[in-house]
Amino acid sequence: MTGGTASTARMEAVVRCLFDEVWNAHRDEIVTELFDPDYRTPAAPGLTGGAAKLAVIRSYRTAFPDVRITVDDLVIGVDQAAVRWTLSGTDTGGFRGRPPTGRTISGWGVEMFGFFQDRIATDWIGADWLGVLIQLGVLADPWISLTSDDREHGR
Amino acid sequence: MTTDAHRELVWRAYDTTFNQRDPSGARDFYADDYRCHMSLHPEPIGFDGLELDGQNILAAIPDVTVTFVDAFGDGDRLVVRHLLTGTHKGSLMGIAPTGKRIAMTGTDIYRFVDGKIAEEWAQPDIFGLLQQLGALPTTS
Repeated sequence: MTGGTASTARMEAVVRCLFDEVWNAHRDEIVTELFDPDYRTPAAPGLTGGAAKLAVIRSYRTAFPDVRITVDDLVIGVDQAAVRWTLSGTDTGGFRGRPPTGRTISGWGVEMFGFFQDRIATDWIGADWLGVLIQLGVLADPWISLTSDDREHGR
Repeated sequence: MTTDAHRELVWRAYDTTFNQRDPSGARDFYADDYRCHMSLHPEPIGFDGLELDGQNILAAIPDVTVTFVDAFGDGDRLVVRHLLTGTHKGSLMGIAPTGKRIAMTGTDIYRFVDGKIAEEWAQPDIFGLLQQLGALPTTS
C-alpha cells in the first residue's frame, strides 16, 4: 500500500480491536487510537473521534450490561472494510430510558468502515433495528397482522 | 473473477430487477443454490423468494430506481450499499399507498461461486422505510 492508505493488515487489526478489545473486553482507552479525530456519527451528536464511538457503545452497555458482539465475517477493500456482526444482550438496564424488560435480544448487521490513513474516519451500519425493537416489545411485529398469503403477495 | 467483475454482476442483477423492471430476468446472475439471509424472512430465501420480493416492490413503487452508493470487495465477497427511491403507489408490506416519495438504503454482503451470486446477507432499512411512511407499529 502507498503512503496515504491503510494496509490490509492494519485495517483488519483496527476493526478486530474495536470489536474484541473495546466492545467485548471493555478496553475503552484504546478507542482513540482506532478513530480519526474527525470521525462523527449521528448516534452521538456533538462528539468526535473515538469518544463519539465510545458514547454509542456505552449506550448499548447501559441497556444491555452483558452485551456481546461477534464478528461473523470481515471483508477488507482499499481504504474500506466491512464486518458482519451479531449483537446480543439482556435488557436489564432499560433501552433508551425505558424500564428494563429482562428480555434477551439478538440481531445482526453489516457495518462499513472508511479509513483515512490508519484510522476509521467513517462508518455506516445496516442492521435489523426493527427486529430488536420488536424483541424488546417497543414495537409490534408488523408482519404478524398479515396472513401468510398477504405476506407472500406483499399486501 | 475480480472485484470489478463482481460489482458489475451485482449491478446488472439490480439494474435488471428494478431499473428494467424485470425481476425474473435476473435469474442467470444467481447460482442454482443461491441463498439470501434477510431479517425480513425467518428462513433464508432462494431466487424465487427474491424474485417475489422484487415483484412486490415494483407493484408498490412502480417508478422505483436503484443506484449504488458504495461497493467494494475482496476475494469472493463484495459489500454494497444501494439506494432504492420512488413513490409509494401500491400496497407495501400491508401498508396502503401513501403517495409519499421514499428512499430506502440496503447494506449487503455477497459471496460468489463460479461467476454467480451464491449467497447474500441483506439488511434493507425497513425501520427507516416504515418511519418515512409514518407506519411504525406501536404496542400500545
